[in-house]
Amino acid sequence: MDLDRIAIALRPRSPWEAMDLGFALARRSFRTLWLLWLVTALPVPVALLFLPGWFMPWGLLLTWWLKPLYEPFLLYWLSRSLFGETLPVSVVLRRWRRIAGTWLLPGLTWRRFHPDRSFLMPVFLLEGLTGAAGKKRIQVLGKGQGGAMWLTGLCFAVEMVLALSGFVLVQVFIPNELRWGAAADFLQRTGSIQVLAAAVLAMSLVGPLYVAAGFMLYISRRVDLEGWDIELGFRRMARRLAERRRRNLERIAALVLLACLCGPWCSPLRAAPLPEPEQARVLVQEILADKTFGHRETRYTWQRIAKEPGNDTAMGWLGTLLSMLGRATRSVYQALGALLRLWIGPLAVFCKMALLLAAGALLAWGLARYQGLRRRLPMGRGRGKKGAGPKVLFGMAVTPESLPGDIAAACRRLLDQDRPRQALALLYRASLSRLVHGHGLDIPASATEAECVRLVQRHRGRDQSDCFRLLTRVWLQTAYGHERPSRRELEQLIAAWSAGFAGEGA
Amino acid sequence: MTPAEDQINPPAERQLDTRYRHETPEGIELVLTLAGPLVRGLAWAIDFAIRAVAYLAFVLLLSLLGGVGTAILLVTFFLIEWFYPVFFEMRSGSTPGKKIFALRVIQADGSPLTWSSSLLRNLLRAADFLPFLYATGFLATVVSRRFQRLGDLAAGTIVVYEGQEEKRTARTAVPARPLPWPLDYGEQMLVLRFAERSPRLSAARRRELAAHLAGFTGREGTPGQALLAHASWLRRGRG
Repeated sequence: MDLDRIAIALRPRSPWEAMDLGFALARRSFRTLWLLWLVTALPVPVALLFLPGWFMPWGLLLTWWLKPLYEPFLLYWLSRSLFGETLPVSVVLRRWRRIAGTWLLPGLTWRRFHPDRSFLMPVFLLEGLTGAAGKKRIQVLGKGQGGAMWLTGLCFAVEMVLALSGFVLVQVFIPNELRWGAAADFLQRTGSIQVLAAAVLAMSLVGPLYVAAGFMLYISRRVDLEGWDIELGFRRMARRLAERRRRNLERIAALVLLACLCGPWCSPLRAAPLPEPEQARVLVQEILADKTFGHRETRYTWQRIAKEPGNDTAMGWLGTLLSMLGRATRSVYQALGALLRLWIGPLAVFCKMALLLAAGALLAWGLARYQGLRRRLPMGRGRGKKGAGPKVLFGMAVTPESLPGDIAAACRRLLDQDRPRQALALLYRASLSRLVHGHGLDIPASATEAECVRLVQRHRGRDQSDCFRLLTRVWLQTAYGHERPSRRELEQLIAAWSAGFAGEGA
Repeated sequence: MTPAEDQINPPAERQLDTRYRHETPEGIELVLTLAGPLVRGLAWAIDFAIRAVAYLAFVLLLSLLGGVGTAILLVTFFLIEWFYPVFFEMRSGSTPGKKIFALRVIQADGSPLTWSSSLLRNLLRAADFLPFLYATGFLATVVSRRFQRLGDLAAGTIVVYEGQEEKRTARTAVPARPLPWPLDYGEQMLVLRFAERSPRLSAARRRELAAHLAGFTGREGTPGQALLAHASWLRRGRG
């Protein structure tokens, strides 16, 4: 038993804490424990499936009764893992004879219903004690511990609750529509199997927890009785003290060595001669006369003195005058206060009105100011017709001055010269120019073509927006898609444009 | 909540324990001993018994009032069923059942339980109860790292054992002897613990334990006797 490798913190624990620790231990390696349990416990219930139905209740009882047969494997594995040795499941199973040997008979018969079963099992299994020695050991270990009984009782209750819960859970989730005909027959026939499954599942969930908690009860009892925590602490202490002692020895050795090495060069030590009593007394007086042994010193400081009462008369007529003035001022204030109290109501109403009026005025002024500000700002939306719209859009000049007078005619001319791209560009430019400078549409210089279309749709009539949308589409295809627009299409566009845009003056 | 334990045997990372450590922003480490499902289940059963007695008393009293009595009875049932734990937890941190086992509900950061947490953890009993008698709550408690049922997880609370002081045995008649070497706090506690536990240890085991320090306890008497004398000296210092 190597306490330095133990996998749990060693300290005295109450039985409840020991059980909690057992639960934590089982949780940490639940998968292995569960596997061990299932490997040993599943054969019986599986065999039951092939036996006639009337045998089922007896089989369930048998599965439950055989618990002491499954538990030793878990205990063996846990006892090894407590000291850091993780055994594979197959190894544990192969050692079945050694593991279950002494425990099996008493465990399955007269100790089956012992309330301390989980606590006794380690004594028989791990200490290998039987007969009188075992009985004596149990007496020593079991004195004053009532935890194992609670553990058995509570685990039994939990197992019942879990089994019932599992069964209820399945039943709850079977829809009512299935409780009819063949399905109902099936459910009825498999009812006992459902009970079996729920019971075995509950047993297998509680089993590892029960074994681990009982084992920890046993271990914590031994920790207490054998002082495992003290042993661990004493060992650590002994190590530290030995280390300290070694270091001290090294220091002394170094000093001795130094003394030996330096000795020949040092002058021999000689005690100073003892003075005579007379001389000594003089020497003592001399030394005591030193400032360090006390001296007298005078210091002067200013100190505040409390004001004496009855000094007011010294002020004379000035004081009287001042006090009179003070009284007069106070009465004036009082009169004012009375007046105010009288007037305070109407005054408050007046002040409120005045404040409201002032706030309204301020708000109106602010709004007006804001409007004016917006009109003057270049980004403003409410820009007047005269306002300077962008002169260039998409790299094209859109000022009215840059365009010919009769757009439609100019376009047709360009078409005749077989320059459809230029014709289209002119048309597009002209539309933008009309929109910006003719209709005051607020197209920011940063807008894209699609945004222009949306703006037109939002602010202009249906004729113009349809025409502009079509125009934009053809223009985009031509400008960026490098598609040559057909002459017919262009002529239609020019006609539409003339209807939509040209009528209004430029 | 006994930091002395840490000094005696410093906790190792790989060593399993039911202690939960929480470091406050001030750098103080709180050590809390978590309570597992079994003891909590028992505490709940006791609370349930107390409630059942209360219900019975109310039924007997209010049945005298007829129809109005039934109405009052239903309201009372509702209030007791849902707010019995909240009331006691907010009053002293634990219901009567928990108090028997020195259990206490606190926030996971070690601070006292807040109203909202208490309400939440107790309203969620409905979820933990499913499908039957806290089956979900039991499984959640076993699975979660800090023994928390669903309500605890939602409310951020834990159930811990209240700090138990180690029982100090009366001063013994062993003559005191000063320590021959300086010991740190944990080591002093360890020597004291040896003295306290030695009546329960077997004589052979006592010798075996003390033998670990044989080289450091001086020449007089056996190491065990010397340790007891040192413990007596230490205890006198502690008053």
